[in-house]
Amino acid sequence: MFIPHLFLSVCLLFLPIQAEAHKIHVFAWVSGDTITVESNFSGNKPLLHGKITVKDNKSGAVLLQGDGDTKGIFTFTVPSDARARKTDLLIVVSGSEGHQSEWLVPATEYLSEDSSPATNQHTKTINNDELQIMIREIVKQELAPIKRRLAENRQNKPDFRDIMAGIGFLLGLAGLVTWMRNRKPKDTKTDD
Amino acid sequence: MHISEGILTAPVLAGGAVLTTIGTSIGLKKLDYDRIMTVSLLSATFFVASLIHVPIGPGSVHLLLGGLLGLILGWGAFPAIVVALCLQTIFFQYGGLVVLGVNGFIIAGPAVLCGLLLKSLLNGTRRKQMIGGFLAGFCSMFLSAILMACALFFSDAGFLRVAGIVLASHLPVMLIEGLITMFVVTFLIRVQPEILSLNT
Repeated sequence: MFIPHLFLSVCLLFLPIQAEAHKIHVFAWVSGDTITVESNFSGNKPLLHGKITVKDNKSGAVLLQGDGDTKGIFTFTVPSDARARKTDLLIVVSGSEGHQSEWLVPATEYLSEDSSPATNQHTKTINNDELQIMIREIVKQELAPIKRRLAENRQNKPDFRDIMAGIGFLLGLAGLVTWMRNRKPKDTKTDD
Repeated sequence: MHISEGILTAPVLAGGAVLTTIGTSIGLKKLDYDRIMTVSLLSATFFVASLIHVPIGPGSVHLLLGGLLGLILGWGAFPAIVVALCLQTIFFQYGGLVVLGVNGFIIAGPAVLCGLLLKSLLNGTRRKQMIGGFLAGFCSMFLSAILMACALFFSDAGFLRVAGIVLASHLPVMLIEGLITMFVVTFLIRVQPEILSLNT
């Protein structure tokens, strides 16, 4: 009597907190010549030891494979072969239960990262070129967390608006069917 | 419980699509149009239930409430689930449109089966009603997990390993689903028995 009510209300209480998707979220960001791939389930639960495959986006050829760690993170250096051919990298992450997600790293993203020529360490005065390189290095470090956030935001997670839209769609569908059913008899009556 | 795109092979995808089409058309044929609002509301319930994430066990699992839909709607659960799955694919990128057939059958098949088989228990005593509700929730998810393991097995190797993982990660949610279905069903029988169209 009382218990079902209580149980249902407790369930409802948890609804907004746990309104999370069931899907692997993947995002990858470039820093220097390494690419970091982070994969997690919704609610920031990391995907344990997910299988990560890096493919050539055009030909689909597998460039490298590896397993994520317990935090769902996998880091790799861009293969020199891919760099030479300027291939876009498609990162595919798969879990054990039929879940799979992808993330595309366009060649422009990692090529723009590594334009750092060798520095001359013996000069004491800093010339313009060296200053540029230093600034680039520092900016790169500072930007890494921001890039991660941007990559994270590119994932579309279910929104409250999506949920309401779905419910509205279903109710609208029912309304449409009811309207069609109710319209028919009237039409036949006027025809007759 | 949603298999992503690019994992299953073409025969499995085609098989799932055919079975789901058959199920949906039977469901639409058997659908009593006076109950269209019930179907729609339960479809919405299913749509939202998948967002309730159960943070127990190794994987990432969520409620389905397939058993509840099966008990209340019978064959009508098939179209209700398929439409909701389609929306989940579009809005949340769960599964995919190509895998919709397979996912539809994995979830709706057991839901309808359990609903039809266990419905008679709801006419019995209160204890029978509770058992019926629990079993509908528990078994429909259990069978869904088995079907999912089958679909993955036909595309990949190692049925026992996959089935083991799927069942282990879904066991806690099966129990929760069983309990929720039990409470909702007994509650509905007391408050609004006509929604279950009992004694007809």
